[in-house]
Amino acid sequence: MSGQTFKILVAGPFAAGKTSLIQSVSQTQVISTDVLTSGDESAVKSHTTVAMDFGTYCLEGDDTRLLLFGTPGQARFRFMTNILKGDVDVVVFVVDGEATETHAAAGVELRALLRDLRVPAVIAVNRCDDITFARRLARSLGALDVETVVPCQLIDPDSGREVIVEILLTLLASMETTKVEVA
Amino acid sequence: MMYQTEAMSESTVIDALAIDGAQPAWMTLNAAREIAFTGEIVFESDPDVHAYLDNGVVYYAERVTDATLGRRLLDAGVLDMIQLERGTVRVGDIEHLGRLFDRDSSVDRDAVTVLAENATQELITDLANRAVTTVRATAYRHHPSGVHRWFVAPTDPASVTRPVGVIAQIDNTVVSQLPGLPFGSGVEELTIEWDDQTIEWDDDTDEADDDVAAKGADTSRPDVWEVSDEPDESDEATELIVEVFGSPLGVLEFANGLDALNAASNDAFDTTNTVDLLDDAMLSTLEVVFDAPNVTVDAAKLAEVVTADAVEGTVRDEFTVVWPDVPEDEESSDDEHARLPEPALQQTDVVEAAPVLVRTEDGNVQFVMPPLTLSDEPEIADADVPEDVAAAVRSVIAAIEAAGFSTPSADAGMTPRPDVAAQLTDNVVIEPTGQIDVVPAGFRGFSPPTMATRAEVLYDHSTLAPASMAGGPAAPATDDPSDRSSALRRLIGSLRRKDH
Repeated sequence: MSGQTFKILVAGPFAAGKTSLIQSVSQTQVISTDVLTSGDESAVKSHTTVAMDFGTYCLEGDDTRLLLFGTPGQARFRFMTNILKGDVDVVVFVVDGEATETHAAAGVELRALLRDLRVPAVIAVNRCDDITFARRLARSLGALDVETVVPCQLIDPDSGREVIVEILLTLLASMETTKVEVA
Repeated sequence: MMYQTEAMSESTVIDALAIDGAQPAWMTLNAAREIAFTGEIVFESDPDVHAYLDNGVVYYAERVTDATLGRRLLDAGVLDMIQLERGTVRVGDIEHLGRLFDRDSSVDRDAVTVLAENATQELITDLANRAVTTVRATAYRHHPSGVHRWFVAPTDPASVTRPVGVIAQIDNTVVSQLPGLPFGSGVEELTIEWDDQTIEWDDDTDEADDDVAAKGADTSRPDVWEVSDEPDESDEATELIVEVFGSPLGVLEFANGLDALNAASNDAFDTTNTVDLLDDAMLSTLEVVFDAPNVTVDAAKLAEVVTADAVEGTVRDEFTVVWPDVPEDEESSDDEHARLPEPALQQTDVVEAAPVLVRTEDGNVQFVMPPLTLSDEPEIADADVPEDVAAAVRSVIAAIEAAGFSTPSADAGMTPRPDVAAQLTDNVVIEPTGQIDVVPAGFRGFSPPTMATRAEVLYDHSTLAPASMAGGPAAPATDDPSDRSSALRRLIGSLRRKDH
């Protein structure tokens, strides 16, 4: 068996569900850099990521690994996303479908993310079950038609795993397309 | 070019779009396209959908229950509140966005139009196959927000070159910030000739007049103040050409040569010095002639206008001195001396610090400066990241990846590093067989950093990691893409099995 490593970058605005997505699949305890929130952010949630989250998923009896990197959601830490987005295989952007007050900032961040992205991207719309709404929201935030959009409920780990599966399918499709183009 | 519908009566249009019983909406849209319909079509549905067409093409559509376009643009993040306020024309209850891009040049037109196009496309796609029973058409009715102007090129070019509104023209040019010339003084020797925008310090020679007119005819407008000495062809007089933003403000001719000015050119050029020079040496003997209106200017006040104090913070950056007679290699060195210091205030700063109109508590309206805000724009975040920070982050990522290698399942096929693995995954039980007790960590609470996960440990461990892991995209262990695809499929299969 050859050792294969796949890296997923989980980005998105504050309190969108990025850490929850990583926790839903990570086999190892998520390395978290959460601290108590302060100011206005404390009204939204008690802890927030200030550096990154990290989780892993490994195949049993195999050395294939899936590494998940979660970036901080606050705009002041956006440089982390910009640094990391070129060093991963696929990017997932998580946005809370119901937190409309975050959509403006999410749009800014998503467009910045997609602007020079060279790897596939998936938009995960948290707290949403309607694919039509999810697609509409993603488009309104600046996602292109080619981007995969997934509605999800990241409070449920099963939903998080479904998102990860969609991410990997998108990556697989991208690899297959690249393979065809090379051929 | 006349649209086909312009020759139609409204009843003809309505007939063409009339439907008999329930039919898909696309048939109505197709009929509208065939007759090049311009106006509004309302599809009575749940909720009603209003489609606006120009020459048969839908340029905007919305549901009656949709939020206003301005609100949707705000929600999508393509506009902020200040841009929306600047760009909106309010007349009574009308909020007109048609001049949004004219009134605020900072608006990303592509983002706005793409958003509107996408929303329209989605709605029309959704509507197209829906059966509708009633359609109302109104020719030449456009969306009240004025978005018609965004998508349809105006046929009258004059409408494009309209003067911008009061708010939109705030500080778009530095010219507007120049202090005005103080006209109406009693000095009769100074006259301004506006038609060729020159000021001539008359030496009582007609040749000089012609020369001035010839120079004034050059209307190229480099955005600089230029002061240059060009020797007169006759070598009897020397001119000092003063240009304000490329428009020759005056040509100063000196019968007594430029000894004093040459002295100034050898030193750092200073407007105050120059004006003093002019005041002392020339102004008293010079006359400025103007065609019309025949007004006079106080030479002393003119000097005051040009002094550094008067232009400080406004045009200093626009002031350069050009000595065309100097050889090119020397000119560059002189230019360094001649240029004034870079201004602290840039034009873009002025634009962003534009005052806004607010209503005070007592009901009056006044301009106030907006509070300083820090932008969340990603360019700024990008620009602020030094390379060493990026390198440090990548080092940490490499260290974390090395931790990933140390998960027990991975160790089954690799050189075991139990000491590091135990440090980094203290919650993982390493079985003697190398198999992992796989328990998803999800929703067991947040895990604060521990001594085992502190940066020093991770970083030390990163030095043990293979060199290929130090930053860069995820590198497959082999170059065979089929192996990678196969591994990815196994991962997908594994995750799917856990779903059941």
